[in-house]
Amino acid sequence: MNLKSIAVFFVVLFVGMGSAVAHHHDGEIDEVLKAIDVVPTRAQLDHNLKNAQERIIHAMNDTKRNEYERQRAITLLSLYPNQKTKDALLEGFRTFENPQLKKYTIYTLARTFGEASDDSIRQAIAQAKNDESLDVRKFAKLAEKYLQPKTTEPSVK
Amino acid sequence: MRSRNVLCVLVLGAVLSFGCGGDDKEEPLVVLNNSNNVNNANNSNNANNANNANNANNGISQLEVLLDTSVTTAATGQTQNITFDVPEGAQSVVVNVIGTSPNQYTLNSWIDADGTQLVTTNWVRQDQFAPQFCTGCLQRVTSAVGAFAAMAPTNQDVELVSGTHTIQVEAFSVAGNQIAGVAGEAQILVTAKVAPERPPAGTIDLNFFFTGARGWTAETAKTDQVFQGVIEEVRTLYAQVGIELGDLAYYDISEDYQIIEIDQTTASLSPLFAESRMADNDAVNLFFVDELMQSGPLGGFGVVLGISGGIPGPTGQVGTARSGVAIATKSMPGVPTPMSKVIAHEMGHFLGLYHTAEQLLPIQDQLDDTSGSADELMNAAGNGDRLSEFQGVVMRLNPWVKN
Repeated sequence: MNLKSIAVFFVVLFVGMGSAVAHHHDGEIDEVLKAIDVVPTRAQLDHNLKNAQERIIHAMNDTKRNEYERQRAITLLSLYPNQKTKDALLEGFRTFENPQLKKYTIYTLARTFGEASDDSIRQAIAQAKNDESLDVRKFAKLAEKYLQPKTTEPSVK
Repeated sequence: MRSRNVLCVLVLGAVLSFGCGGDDKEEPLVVLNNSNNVNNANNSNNANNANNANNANNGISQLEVLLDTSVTTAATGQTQNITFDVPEGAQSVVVNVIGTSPNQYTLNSWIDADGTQLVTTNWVRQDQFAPQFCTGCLQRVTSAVGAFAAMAPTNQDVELVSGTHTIQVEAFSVAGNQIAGVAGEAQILVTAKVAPERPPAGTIDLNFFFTGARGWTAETAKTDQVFQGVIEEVRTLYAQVGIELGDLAYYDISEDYQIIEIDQTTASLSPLFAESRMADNDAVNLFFVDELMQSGPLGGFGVVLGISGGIPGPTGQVGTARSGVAIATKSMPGVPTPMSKVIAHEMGHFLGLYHTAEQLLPIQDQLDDTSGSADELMNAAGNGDRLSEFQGVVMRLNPWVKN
């Protein structure tokens, strides 16, 4: 085996591995995405999952995952109120065709960044209010209130 | 406080009256029968369960109200010591604290008649996992917004001792990682389930509340094949621990509750659960909504499929901010857990069961016969089937289950 064939072997191997990683179903995060009644803290995610935010963003865009898991991923990004989350959600809002995902991107953007939301978020909400999907329009309306000063919960005994 | 003890009785089908007995301090104890006509008590093939069902037919348990009073929390958030007498033959005791949203409530301490500390004093400020769980407590408790309940025993290590028990209630708020005591009033209701032995079977009545989600209403759900199929599956899951579903009541509530958002200040969950005040029977309340968005304990939020009003939920009163279980009904392709298991899982919490293993936390429930495996109904994904023997004991000890 000459040097060239060794080099080709490793190139093929690395490309193959890269492809496998890109399509790898992230089993470690499955538990978090499948949970039915738990919202973790950011510290719990970061302590247990290396590169948690990146992996959640990957899960949100992973078309092999079911709708619930992707909705979980979108909404759990609220634990990371930073530019990376904002970019990922705005991109999701632009590209998701499924209204059940799209509606959560707009809602999560507003609820996460709230009154501090920038023009890009405000514009996305305005766009969502005219979306063809009733669900997206409904969630855009819910989202809008997070741009306003919050009110207190009515007292219930 | 003991002189304020008032006994009321919970009779099958009767309205649960929080104030029964009123403030009449010297009212003699009255114990009414809590038996609930488990005529068809058990569909299980298990012979022991069948025998148990016969016992349940005889109405083996009674509920006694040990304490029904108002208390005041100081600026520290804590009350003075509150005492109540646990009678001989008590198999379980539930302490209910009914306060005001959005304050959180829990027990600051619970010491039994032998001086054993069931709930560790000051756990909210000391436990590693506070205010979510008191993991250092012999009798695990949690905390809840608006209303709270603690039940003992919910694990094999707690022995319920008759005699005078002493509790302190705590009201607090959470801002960031900071816990601040809240001064105010709260109502305390303490009940005991009294029986010659731990009830081996029981029946639970359910109230269904419909928001129009999934097209279900009080009228249509009675004959909707999908809905009735879901309830049949819940019936099967609970039959394995000798609990059968009893009376089922159907109610409509506002469509405004179809989407439930829970955050630190604008939670719509408490008003939803408070709608249970329209029910006139002592049954666990299930609310069918479209979608649920739960806030995280320290910020953020996430979509969930179900929420229980507590672990356990309040007993002996409807219409509180925690009086029920909410279920998301929005149909989603590939949803990992079927609705029947979500209902059974959340009702499991409401009756006093914890997750067999908490997600991302080194916390397991306190039971010896659970493992945290995926085949358990109370694992965090809720997609298992199995309930353990002692999980069944805990559920049947809850006052909502009539024996």
